[in-house]
Amino acid sequence: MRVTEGKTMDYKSILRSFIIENFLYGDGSGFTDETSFLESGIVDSTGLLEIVSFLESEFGITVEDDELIPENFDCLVKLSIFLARKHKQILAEGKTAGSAGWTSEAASCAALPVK
Amino acid sequence: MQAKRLNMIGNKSKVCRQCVLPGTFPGIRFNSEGVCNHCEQFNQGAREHEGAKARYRQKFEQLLERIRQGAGQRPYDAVMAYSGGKDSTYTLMMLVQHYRLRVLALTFDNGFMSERAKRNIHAVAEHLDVGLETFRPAPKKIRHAFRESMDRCPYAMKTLERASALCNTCMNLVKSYVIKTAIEKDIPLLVYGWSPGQAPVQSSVFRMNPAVLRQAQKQLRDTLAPIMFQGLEPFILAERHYRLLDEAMERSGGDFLYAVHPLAFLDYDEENIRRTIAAVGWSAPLDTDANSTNCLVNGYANSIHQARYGFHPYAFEIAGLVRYGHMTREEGLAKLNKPVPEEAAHDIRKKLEIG
Repeated sequence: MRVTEGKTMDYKSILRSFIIENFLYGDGSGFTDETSFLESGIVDSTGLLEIVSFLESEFGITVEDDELIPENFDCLVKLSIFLARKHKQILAEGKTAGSAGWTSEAASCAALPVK
Repeated sequence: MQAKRLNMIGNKSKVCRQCVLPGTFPGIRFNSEGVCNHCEQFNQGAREHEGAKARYRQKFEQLLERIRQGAGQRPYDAVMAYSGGKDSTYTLMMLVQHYRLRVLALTFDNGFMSERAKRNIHAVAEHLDVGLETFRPAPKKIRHAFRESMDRCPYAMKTLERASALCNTCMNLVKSYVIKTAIEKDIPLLVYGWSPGQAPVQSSVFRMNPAVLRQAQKQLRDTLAPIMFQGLEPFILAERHYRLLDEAMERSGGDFLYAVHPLAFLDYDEENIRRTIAAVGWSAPLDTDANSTNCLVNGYANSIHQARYGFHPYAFEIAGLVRYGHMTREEGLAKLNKPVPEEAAHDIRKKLEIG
């Protein structure tokens, strides 16, 4: 999936599509925002790194070593909150984000409910 | 989560025009030009790949500087999962001769190593003057685990994209044993000789976070305990390992338990690799399949996987090597299409006590 510049999308939808397409082969039945990637077996430890690869290449963020923790990565809600925070940080620093770039409008669509 | 046998209605005879992935590969789609979705994604980001390689190489070299400064009384800088195959031999050479690291080579003898691979391991360790430890677990327990892995296939389909069920079991045990060894011996780096096609460059230098490690170990136990019974205990971490890990992290300022696979960001050329490792005593086994230079059960496990799921478990890795220009598409297809001789398959079935 490649994000198009200027297109407004929320992070959770993008990540949900990525997970369902790449790990569940299009079958998202039973997969919720709170489904634990590791506990459910949807994603193994190699798969976590595939998610990191996706975040870095698609959004231009760098996942630091101490950020690869369950609190940031283990379910859709946590991952989208993490991504939103990192992405805002990049835009605030004035760096180009992602291979296609993001607008500040897109980045503002990051107000996700915290459970 | 066990793999569902996806509806393999994919066209077996259709193969991506750019790489080697077949129409039966899970989740594959082809565009109007016959190029698969994996290649399309790669093509869109191709220019960034060289940049990513350079970044991760730099990350690795900066990490090495910090590790050297904090070496203290540590006996080793790195533990290398050393299979005796060409890629892990080349990686070991680079660690010792190029990066000047103090390496413990750790070999896991699953009971199916080629005799030539065993001789290679000793010859290379002698030439490079590295410490070598070999762990040969209880052979009947391992054979049982391999049989059960093929029968029950306790892995998600995503996991099976990259390797057969048997190979996944073996690799999971190796990785866990390497982690355990690193923690026990206070060795900060874990190094693997994976080819550039096996895992993305973005995973080539990463620190194993204790919380993620704990979850991964739980997943390992849940997956393998039903097929290994008590045979799993030598491989998995106990509570004391997590305490040792916390202490090591504290002592080193966080520079501990980094997993690295350097071939993702180093220059990779198979001909050059073979030539280079010949100089340290390595010679190719004649009894392994087209996709292994150390293991005798690999080919059989691949054939079972292919028959069951409709695609070769090495297709993903080879597709990556083709995309990155390390192999031509024709060379890749040749590797995937070479059959396992029936005599070799018969020997493995006999050893595994199958039918």
